[in-house]
Amino acid sequence: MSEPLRDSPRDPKLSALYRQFSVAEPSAALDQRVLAAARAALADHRVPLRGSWWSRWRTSLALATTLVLSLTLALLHERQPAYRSTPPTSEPTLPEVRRDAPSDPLAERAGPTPATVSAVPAAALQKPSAASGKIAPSSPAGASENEAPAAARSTAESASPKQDERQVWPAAPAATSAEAKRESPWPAPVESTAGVKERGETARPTAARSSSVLRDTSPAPAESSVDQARSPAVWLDEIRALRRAGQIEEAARQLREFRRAHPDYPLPDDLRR
Amino acid sequence: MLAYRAGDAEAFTTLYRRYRGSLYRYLDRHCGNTALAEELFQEVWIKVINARAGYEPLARFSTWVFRIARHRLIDHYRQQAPRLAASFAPLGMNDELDPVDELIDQLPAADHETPHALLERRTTAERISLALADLPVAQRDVFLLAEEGGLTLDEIAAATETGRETAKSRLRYALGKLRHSLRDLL
Repeated sequence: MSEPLRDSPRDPKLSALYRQFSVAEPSAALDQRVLAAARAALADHRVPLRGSWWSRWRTSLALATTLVLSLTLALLHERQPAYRSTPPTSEPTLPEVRRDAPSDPLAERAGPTPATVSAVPAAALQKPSAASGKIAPSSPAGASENEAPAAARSTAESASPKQDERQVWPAAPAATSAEAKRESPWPAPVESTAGVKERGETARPTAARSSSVLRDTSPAPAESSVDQARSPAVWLDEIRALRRAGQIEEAARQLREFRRAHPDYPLPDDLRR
Repeated sequence: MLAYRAGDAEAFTTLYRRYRGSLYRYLDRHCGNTALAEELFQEVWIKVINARAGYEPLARFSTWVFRIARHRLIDHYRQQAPRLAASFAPLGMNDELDPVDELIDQLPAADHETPHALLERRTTAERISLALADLPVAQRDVFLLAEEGGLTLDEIAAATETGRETAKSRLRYALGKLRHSLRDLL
């Protein structure tokens, strides 16, 4: 400290004279203003500390809110295919309808009348089986055993009942069934369930059975709701069965319809080819 | 200042009382206007108060506060007269060879500053004020920083953002001129 002062230009006499006559000072009011400002600044500093809770947590809260919203949206998005599958789930039964439709014109006509179908309560679902027992009591036990799995639509057995159906019912031209599908895309599932119901009811197409089809279409909504739960997998199995049966074009068309109905459903590798 | 930053209001009061006179005179001698000096004085202390959170004791408080005061003066002069602000601006290392300073050094004191005229019209204090006012701004600045702020040459150099030799040269010129102006009082 003494080193810098030693070579510093100094004039003690001049400094003394200057300090003797330099006595100007700020006013008391100015002193008060400055000191008050200093105290106020400290007081203001404490207020933000109390109010800083929001500034400390707002980032975390914003992140948490964003996370909750994102999760909610993701969950909703995951559930969305289930909702969307409601109309298309009845479509997997379309092939059966198309196979069955030409064989039973009355059922085809009954298809587009969903009002009559929905008017019948679901409890009537049991009625066809009883009716079928009355109508075709002589139906072979083997046949009814073979068709019971078709009604159940187990994945493994879905192919064999169709073969039985083809044997029982005359083979329907694919073009005709396609036209039927194009003309009435929505009533068709009802019709198909009617056809499926029919298959469970009896294996023999008779005039009496045709008239009973009109009555038996009533359980269709309840049954279609059962189909809805497993329809994509069942539909895919049916497409596989079609491929195995050599109906490549039909399988391809079914696959296109499946993809239109279930755009979000992951397609198995064997069906991508 | 650290105590005040921690929330001790009394620490600021102590600090203020220690530097209030010297800082006020520094501003008053520079601008020569009491009202303006008070305004600038208050602004400087408000800056000190607001800067407490970021204050780090890198230098003496006097160096820091006089540097703030000097910057405030420069801002004021920039608003009032750019030419005056330019005279505050730091010069190069060859400042001692500034021909303007040499010319000023060779000039005799003004007639109205002669002891006789001044003794008749003004008090000694006024003569000192006038002598200071006659100094070039940079020299007056260095002189006031040394006398009022008690800053060393290094601190003056840091505060004025010049070299140490430049500050030393300016102080030497300022002392010489003041001695010349106030020689009858010494």
